[in-house]
Amino acid sequence: MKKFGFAIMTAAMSFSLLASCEKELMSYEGEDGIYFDVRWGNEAREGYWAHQYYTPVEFGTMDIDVTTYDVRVRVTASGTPKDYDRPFSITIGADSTTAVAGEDYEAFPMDYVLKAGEQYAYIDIKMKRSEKMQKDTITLQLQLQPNEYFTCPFTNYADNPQSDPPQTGYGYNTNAEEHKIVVNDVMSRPDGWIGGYNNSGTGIMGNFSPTKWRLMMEITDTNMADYASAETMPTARANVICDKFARYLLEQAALGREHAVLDEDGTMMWVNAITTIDPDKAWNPFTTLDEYYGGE
Amino acid sequence: MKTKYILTTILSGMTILSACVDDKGSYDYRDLNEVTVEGLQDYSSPYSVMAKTGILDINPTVKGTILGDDESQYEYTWYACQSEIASDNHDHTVLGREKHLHTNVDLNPGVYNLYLLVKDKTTDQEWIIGNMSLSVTTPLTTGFYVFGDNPDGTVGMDFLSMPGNGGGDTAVVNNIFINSPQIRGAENLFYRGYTARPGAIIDLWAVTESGSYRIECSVQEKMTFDIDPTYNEELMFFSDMMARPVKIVDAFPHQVSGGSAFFNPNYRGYITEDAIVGGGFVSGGESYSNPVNRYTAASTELFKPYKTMFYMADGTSILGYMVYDLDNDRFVTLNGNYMFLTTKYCRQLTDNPGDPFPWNQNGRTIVYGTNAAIYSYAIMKDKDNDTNFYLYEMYVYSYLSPYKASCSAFTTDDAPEFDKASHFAIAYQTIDYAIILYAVGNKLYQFNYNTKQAQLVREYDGEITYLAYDWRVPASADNDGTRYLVCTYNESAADSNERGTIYMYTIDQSLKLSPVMKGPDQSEEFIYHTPLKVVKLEYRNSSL
Repeated sequence: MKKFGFAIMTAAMSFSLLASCEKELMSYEGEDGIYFDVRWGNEAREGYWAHQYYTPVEFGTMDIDVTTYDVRVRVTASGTPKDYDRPFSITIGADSTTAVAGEDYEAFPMDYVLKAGEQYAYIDIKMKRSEKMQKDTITLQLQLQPNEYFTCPFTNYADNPQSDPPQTGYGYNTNAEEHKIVVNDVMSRPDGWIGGYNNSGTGIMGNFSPTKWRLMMEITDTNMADYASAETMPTARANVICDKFARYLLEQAALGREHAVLDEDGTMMWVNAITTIDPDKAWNPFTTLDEYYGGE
Repeated sequence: MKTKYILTTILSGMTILSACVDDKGSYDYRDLNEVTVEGLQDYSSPYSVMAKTGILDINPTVKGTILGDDESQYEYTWYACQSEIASDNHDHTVLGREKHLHTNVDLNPGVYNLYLLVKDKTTDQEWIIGNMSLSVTTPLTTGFYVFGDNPDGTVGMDFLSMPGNGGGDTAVVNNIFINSPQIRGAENLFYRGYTARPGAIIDLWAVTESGSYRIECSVQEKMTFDIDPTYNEELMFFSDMMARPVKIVDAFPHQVSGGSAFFNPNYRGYITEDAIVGGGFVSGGESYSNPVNRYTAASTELFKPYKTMFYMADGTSILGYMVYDLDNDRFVTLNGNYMFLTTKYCRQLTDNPGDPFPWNQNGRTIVYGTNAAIYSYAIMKDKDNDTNFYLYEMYVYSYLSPYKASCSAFTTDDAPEFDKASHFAIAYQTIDYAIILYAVGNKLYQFNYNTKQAQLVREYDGEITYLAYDWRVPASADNDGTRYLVCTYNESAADSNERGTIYMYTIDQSLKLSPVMKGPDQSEEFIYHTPLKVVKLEYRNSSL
């Protein structure tokens, strides 16, 4: 009984407090806008990430057995949530897009729905690793389309000053009705690569090239993490890898001119172990096919 | 209920009030007994004792202002503490409870605060006598690791501590190996010696039936050791030519005279069950490339190596490594000018007219191989009979042309039961000691391969489980550094802690084998016991 009485008193006090906070709220009366709301950045700075104009997919930093990469693009609506579904559509910006459906990405829907009560939706796209990405950066540009539910008003979108600045490595655009996915497969020399200093061609692994590295990993069953640093790639390990790789290069060369493995500069791919494993059949760095097999 | 609270409150109030009342009582005051302790060394002169094997002996004088020399009312406790005795944040160890402290000290090496607590039993009054320091030194610096199996089959390790030079008596320190994974079946143990070179790897390896294990071996802070948790096979052996898991059977080079290590990593390597790897790159961690027990750099076919590498073991540099190829029964060398820096494979050797024996064995195979300080030795036998044996004496001073010094042929008519021998030792400190010791069951034979004369040296109570000639023990006035080591195991020994026995012998110019003697007047034979079935005694002389 006492407890009950106390409860009544508490409730009465709460009402009285609530009553004192009550005021008339204005309802949102502007147009509902829709925009690409993609944010990424330094993991430690999450919460301060800028609105980004593009999403990069760099296959060159991923292991060679990675063939696809899933991209998720967020689309956000301004205004208050609604109690009904609101469809929206996108198109692919033909002028700015070099990616080809089926080759560089898997075809995906153009029509989406912002569900009742929700403020944003996602567009999921599976990008495919293709050979041309080794030479060029491929672009897939998405454009939001206005409809009866949404306008696209944010053509000059800028973050507040507390946010990190947006990335501009693959261009910059303040128009938030556009977003592009940029894809390439460019590999840069890892810290664990031993050899080829000052482009000398010599050393355990010789000169670095993405083509050589890709093939080396394939033949020796290694991955990018193995080459990440001097700790993961001690000299002993580099020797083991290059011994195996050299055997492959020598075998290919022995099969004939058309089988010899060429590096990106058109000369015969070289690692130091070629000269120790088979000095008689070995070639030097920067040897051309003509020099090795004789001019034709 | 309420009444109780009120009563309590009133009573409390009265108590407080009563505390305000002046004490006007009268008391009898009595003098207390004050204690002084004499005959102790202060911080400036620390006590020192060797852990486990040494005796800490302190016998102070206690006097009381009232009791005088009467000590009957006192209790004593001696403490060794890692910090101030009043600190909560430390462990202290009770060393004894008698005024006269005379005890072994079972503490890890280090410096401790030493305290004596004197308590008057009749008054409970206590006096803490401090300002003393105890330095506990390790008995594990110099001596032999004693490696073998416990009676339950698990691997165990003792240490035959031989501090010498007034550092303490020889003694066995038992159970220094924790053996967390309970590995079983001891096979080999090797320690690679002392070096002060910064960054050098000083390592201890145990080989058992289940594999090889790097063992912790720094004795600066601990008295018991376990498998080194930092060892990672995948980061040490990278070659895919090697069988996995990698089982190391031996390492090279071993420590040299006095227990010093070779430190140059270009010489350093391992023999595994199927591979020889060397030239470990120790910067950033020891790691190894492809094996060298093959005949071309292009080949991935490994020949099975004998478990011992032949080389000039006590030189300041190594000029060649020789391997025995068990698949083809031949001696070959590593093909490298700068040892492993350029070595990728092995090279076959050519014979010269008049050589005492061929490198290619043609019907013989190896029974036992070992290295002297300078010379290397191999006991060979005919493959088609068990009677004809040969002792090869070799000098691996060059990888291109190692030298064949001699070949001594003999038969089991000369050396009885030689075909049944399980262990061998060759006296190789000086070339004049043309002696092979060999063990058959519990019998130790001595065979002079120059005169072809053999004799039974001794029959032990237990079977011989280890026999070696160790030239690493430093020479001294009464010791030219030549030591035969024999271990036996007597399963029926009355005391299970004395099933294993360690003997040590020396040999004189007349080739007479004599027990090493010990004791103040050198009248007692050097014999120590262990519960272990010993498979290896490994010398160690390092304070690290």
